Amino acid sequence: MSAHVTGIGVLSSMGLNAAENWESLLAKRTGIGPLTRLQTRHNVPAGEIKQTNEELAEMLGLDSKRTYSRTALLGMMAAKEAMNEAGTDPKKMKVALISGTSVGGMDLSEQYFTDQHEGKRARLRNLFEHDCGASTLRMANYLGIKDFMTTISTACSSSANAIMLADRLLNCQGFDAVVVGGTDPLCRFTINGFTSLMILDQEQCRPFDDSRNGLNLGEGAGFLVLQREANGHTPYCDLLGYANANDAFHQTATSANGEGPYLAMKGALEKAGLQPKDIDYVNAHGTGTGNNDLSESTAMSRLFGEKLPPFSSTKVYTGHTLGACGGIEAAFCAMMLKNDTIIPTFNFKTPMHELEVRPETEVKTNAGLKTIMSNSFGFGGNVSSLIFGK
Amino acid sequence: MKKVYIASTSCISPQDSFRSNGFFDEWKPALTGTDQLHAIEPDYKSTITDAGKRRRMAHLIKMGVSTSLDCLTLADGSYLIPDAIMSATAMGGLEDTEKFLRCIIDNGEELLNPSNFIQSTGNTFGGQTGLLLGHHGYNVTYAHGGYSMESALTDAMLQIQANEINNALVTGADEITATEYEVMRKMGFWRSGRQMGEGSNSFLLNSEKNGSLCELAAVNILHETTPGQIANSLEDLANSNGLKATDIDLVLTGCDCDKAAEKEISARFPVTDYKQWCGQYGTKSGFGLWLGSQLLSRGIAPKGNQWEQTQLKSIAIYSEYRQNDYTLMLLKKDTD
Repeated sequence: MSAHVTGIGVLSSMGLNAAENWESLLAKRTGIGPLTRLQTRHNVPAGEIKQTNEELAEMLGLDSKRTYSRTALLGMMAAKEAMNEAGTDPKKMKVALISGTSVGGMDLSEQYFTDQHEGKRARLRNLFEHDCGASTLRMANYLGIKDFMTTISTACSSSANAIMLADRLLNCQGFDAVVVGGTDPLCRFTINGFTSLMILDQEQCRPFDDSRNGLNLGEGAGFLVLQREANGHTPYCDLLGYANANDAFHQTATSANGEGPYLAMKGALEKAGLQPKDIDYVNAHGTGTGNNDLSESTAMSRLFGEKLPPFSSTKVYTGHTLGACGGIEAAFCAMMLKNDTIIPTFNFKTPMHELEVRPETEVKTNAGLKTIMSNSFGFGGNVSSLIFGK
Repeated sequence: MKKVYIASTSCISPQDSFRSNGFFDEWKPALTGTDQLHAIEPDYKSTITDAGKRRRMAHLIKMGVSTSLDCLTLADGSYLIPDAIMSATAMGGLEDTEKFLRCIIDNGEELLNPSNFIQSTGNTFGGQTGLLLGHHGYNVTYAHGGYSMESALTDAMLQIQANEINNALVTGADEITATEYEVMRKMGFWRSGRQMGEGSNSFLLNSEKNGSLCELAAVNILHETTPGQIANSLEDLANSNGLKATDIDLVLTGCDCDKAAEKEISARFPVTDYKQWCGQYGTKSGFGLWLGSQLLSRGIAPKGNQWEQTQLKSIAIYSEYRQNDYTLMLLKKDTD
């Protein structure tokens, strides 16, 4: 029996809840723009949430004297929204929390090392939030979840992988609900990291366009509540299938023939017991780097043949939110299915010269969506594909 | 539900444990006079044969990849390709993270070295193992503090029990860095006799009993427990796995904060502290699991300060994460 998606929560540069994000997506309004909050010498556009940590903590009703990483704060807000919608009460139910993140408490570690460099008093407690698991523990504490929690860190596929574990836990361990997704903040560490790899576009990213020149980073969190029993709720959709495969090609690049992505998509179809023709839409990983988009398109062409299903990348609205993108895009997929609407990409003009594929560029209502696929690919070759359906 | 067996193991630790019986030849007293237990590293030429790749790998990755490949090495020297690879690390590539952070801050966000960034991510040794094996299957890394190892083992067990896969490589690794040591020193963490450690522990889990070391019967993660309930939890663990409490011949303990816990367990079970040999690190319970599976398969147990040949039925591993948070693992020697 497949798991129902009974609640969603999203936080991105487009808005602080799912409704604000959906409104922005329908209007094709991006959250990507100049950085104003984060202090960095790199002048790159990004999907930045404008609230400071202090403001987020206040919105969450947290003690402002305590130290919370931005990862934990973003995650708390999105997970809380999802749990409220699903009516998830850890006091009465057996609930698990699984979070995906790539940098953990890096914003606080940066503060520590900056203070130390400037000869200021560097506070040790800023380092205690460093490891990825610390953000999940903070979230669990805030959400009142005690039965099970863990953290997955497979770079940009972290939260997609978290969703797979959630389904397995529901199958075997008698959980009433699993709160699952991912959270990652913008920080100087990743901005400089992706700068050093020379894959940040200085302009707005252009997924699948021939002129694409890299990705834009973003921050946010996306969480789902997965349950076996919908308990009177009308679920958004069901998680029908999933697979994780390893590209085993290069630490930071995807293979030209898209072997890993092909295997992940194919495996997800097999798990769901579906054929390629059953897929009505693909929410692509679509980062806007030369390598990713060509490799992903090649893999899609191998799987779907000459006529690809409608596809788009929503990273033109959020930026690439790394460990959070699988969770955020799963929530977007849930809303697309519920509203029977395809959210397109924009900034697309010219197809790639190597392989002519065209993403959706207009909002399509009454799209006839029954089954859709969401892709997330990560550093280290860890690629994942999820299938949601009505 | 299928049972899960440990088919092979590999361990790099502060002890003579890699491809060696040295650790079990004679009783190794705890290392004293130091609060840092650095791993005894193998000659990596023997594990990572490509010199270029070896040179580019950071310390943590070399350890993680080495035990992973060693654990999969068959009699003819080739590798068994597992159905899935699950990795665990509490801190990931901490040394590279720190180098990259310092580079950002000290150089004003210029002259950045991408290799530090690439090696900083938690999933690097799992990804590298997949890359070296040409493995296209499931590959995931858990980074959940002191529960990372147990999380990875849980994922592998769920998939084997559900018959989704037949076998899985599970590797947990963490490294000592000067900064983490120093931060913990400032907090007074090492003052009470604690020692920082490091290492990598790999396990090939299999649904096949033949030729296995023992059965991995349970991995339980317990949060915010009531103090004084550990011995009862151990009894529950035994009962829910078809054993009596008295069938647990030994509890290997890795306590961080709670001396009361050790006292509580030792009042009802024979206890040996595994942390005295590996030190404190996020995935230390991997060392406990390695030790437990080795003792069961060798049929030896500590007696006084000696290893003694004995009949063993089961061994439990108790590991603390923080106050009132702990994990229990149960190993069974299948006698039928």
